Amino acid sequence: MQTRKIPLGRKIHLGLKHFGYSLRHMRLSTAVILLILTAVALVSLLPIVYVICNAFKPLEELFLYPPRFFVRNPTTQNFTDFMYATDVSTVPFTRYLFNSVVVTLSATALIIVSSLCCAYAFSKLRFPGQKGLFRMITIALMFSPEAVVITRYLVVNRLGLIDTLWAHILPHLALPMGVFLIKQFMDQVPNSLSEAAKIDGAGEMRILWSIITPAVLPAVGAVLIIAFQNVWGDMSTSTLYTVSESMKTLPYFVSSLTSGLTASSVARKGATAAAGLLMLLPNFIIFAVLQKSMIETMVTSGIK
Amino acid sequence: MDKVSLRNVWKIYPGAKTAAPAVRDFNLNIGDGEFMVFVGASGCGKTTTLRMIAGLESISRGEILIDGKVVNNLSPRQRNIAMVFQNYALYPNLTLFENMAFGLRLRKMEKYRISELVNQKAKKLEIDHLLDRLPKDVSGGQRQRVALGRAIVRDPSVFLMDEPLSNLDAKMRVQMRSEIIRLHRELGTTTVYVTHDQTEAMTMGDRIVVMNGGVMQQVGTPEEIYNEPANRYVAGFIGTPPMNFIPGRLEKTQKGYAFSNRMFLLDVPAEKITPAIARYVGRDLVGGIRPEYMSVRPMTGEGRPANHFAGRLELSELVGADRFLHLRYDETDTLVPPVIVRGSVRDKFDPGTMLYVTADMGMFLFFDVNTGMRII
Repeated sequence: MQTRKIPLGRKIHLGLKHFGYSLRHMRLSTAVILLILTAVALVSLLPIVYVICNAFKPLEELFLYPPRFFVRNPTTQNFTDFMYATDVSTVPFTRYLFNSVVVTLSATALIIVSSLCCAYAFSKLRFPGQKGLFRMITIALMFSPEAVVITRYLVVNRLGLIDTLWAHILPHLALPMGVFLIKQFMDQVPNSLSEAAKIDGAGEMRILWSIITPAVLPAVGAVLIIAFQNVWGDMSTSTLYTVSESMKTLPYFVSSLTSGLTASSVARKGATAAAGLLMLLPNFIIFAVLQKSMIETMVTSGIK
Repeated sequence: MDKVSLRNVWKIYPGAKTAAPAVRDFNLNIGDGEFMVFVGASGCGKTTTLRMIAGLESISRGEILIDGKVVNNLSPRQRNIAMVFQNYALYPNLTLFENMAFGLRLRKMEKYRISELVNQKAKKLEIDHLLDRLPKDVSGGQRQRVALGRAIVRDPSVFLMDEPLSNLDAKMRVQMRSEIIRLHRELGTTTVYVTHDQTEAMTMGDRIVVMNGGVMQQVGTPEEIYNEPANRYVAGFIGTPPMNFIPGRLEKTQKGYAFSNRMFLLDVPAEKITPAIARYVGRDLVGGIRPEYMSVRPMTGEGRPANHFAGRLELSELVGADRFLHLRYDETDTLVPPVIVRGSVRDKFDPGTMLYVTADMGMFLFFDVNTGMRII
């Protein structure tokens, strides 16, 4: 029998090819850094794996002590439970889902449109007070939403939006991070592009949509991820600005599954686990699709 | 009628670090069909002036007229101009066809007219086979053609070109240069062309504007600019190698007049002595002579040539058909720069050789020491 010999001197590529590395040529320091980064990546992956596993665990595994990380006997029972859990509530599960979808889609779209317009004005136009205004936006990056919750409530209340879907959308609309990211990206688009379009006879809106926006799509992708995650997972608008059950969104419903209802909370443990996965899924998909533009934007903007 | 007129145009940037205006009191009339070149070192205000004509930059003072109409407050689209940018400024997300059609679409032209026009102009520029590609998929020269195509397809009343060839390699630049000249001859559209390259300016322009520090130094045909520069700046800027400037003094001698300094005395022909220069007798001035109006010969026994001075060869540069000889005539003062003589290939001497330099005094120019203006 013939044995095939692998030539020792050959470079071994372990999927690192496009980094320009091969194991043989790798320096020790690079190898150590790669190892550490791999470990960090695995650790940050743990919660996601845990949520996925939990969603498929049968009840006895969910209450196992000490808890087990991976699922032994996967079941879809939790998802069925989750659907039935809504039977007892006055508003069907689909209403929460509908609210969430409408709110998330419209808020994300509006955030992107407003961030693009705002960033364009800061990046390509000249107007008095420009620097000061942009500084305000940069400062706004530092405030957490909790810090402005009272003023937000007052604004929403005065506008008469309490207990409407707008109350979910409007507070999310101004996204300083979105303006900042897109503006930084737009700054790299040469001015001569917009000037050429201007000479060709295009107005500002046309320049923004036809010429500039296609050039900053990676940043738009990144903002889409951020905006989507902000709105999709936000429960606060439901608790703060809405009264009737039919105006509340999915995250509120999911959290109400466990909180408050102490008697049934044990029974709903599985449903919650399933709901957790369902809440995570859209984020996961969006990020998987747009991660390239996310990374590109973060690298060029210098923000983490 | 003048196609483009600039009247006392100023550009002052508010909040600029220097108080000096970017463009100062600029006056120019550009005739219909003329190819006007703005040339100058970077930061001289040539691009700013062009951008003011385009409407991309506001005008601080004065007025600009296109087709006899004041356009100060008109937007770029209302001025009916087309501009070619240094970095081409092609829309990266649109195909070459769409790049050229963009302006036409905005003018709500019928689709069949657009496709007809774009294809016709693309054929003229030999890019018709590339029209469905994206800008990133074609070469620099081809991108430049598309940028030109985008300009000509709209049939504007003025073309503005901002250093359109500076991103191309040397060979491509020469080719595109002749192409732009050909295009201009065919279309006859008034063109304002900005460049820092004097060869481009000399070869392309019907007239040239030389600018420095935001001030127009001279406007004239290439011949005028080269042979009758208005001042030392223009004389030194145009021409490679540049004009030689030799400090000296105008003196009256027994034979007539002579230009002299510590090292030599050169007779000035009587016909050059005009009333303007006569006032400078006995005063310091700067003599200027182009390298091609001087020649060298070795110091051998057969008598001295007339109107010569001696110089030690410091550097000899062979550039194809010519040889540039750098000669130091004043070895006591290292601050006095060497003169450069455009010699022939045969003028091959070892560095350090002493040579006779003869100047064609009929081509000698004189400049005022203080103002730098040409006297004759």
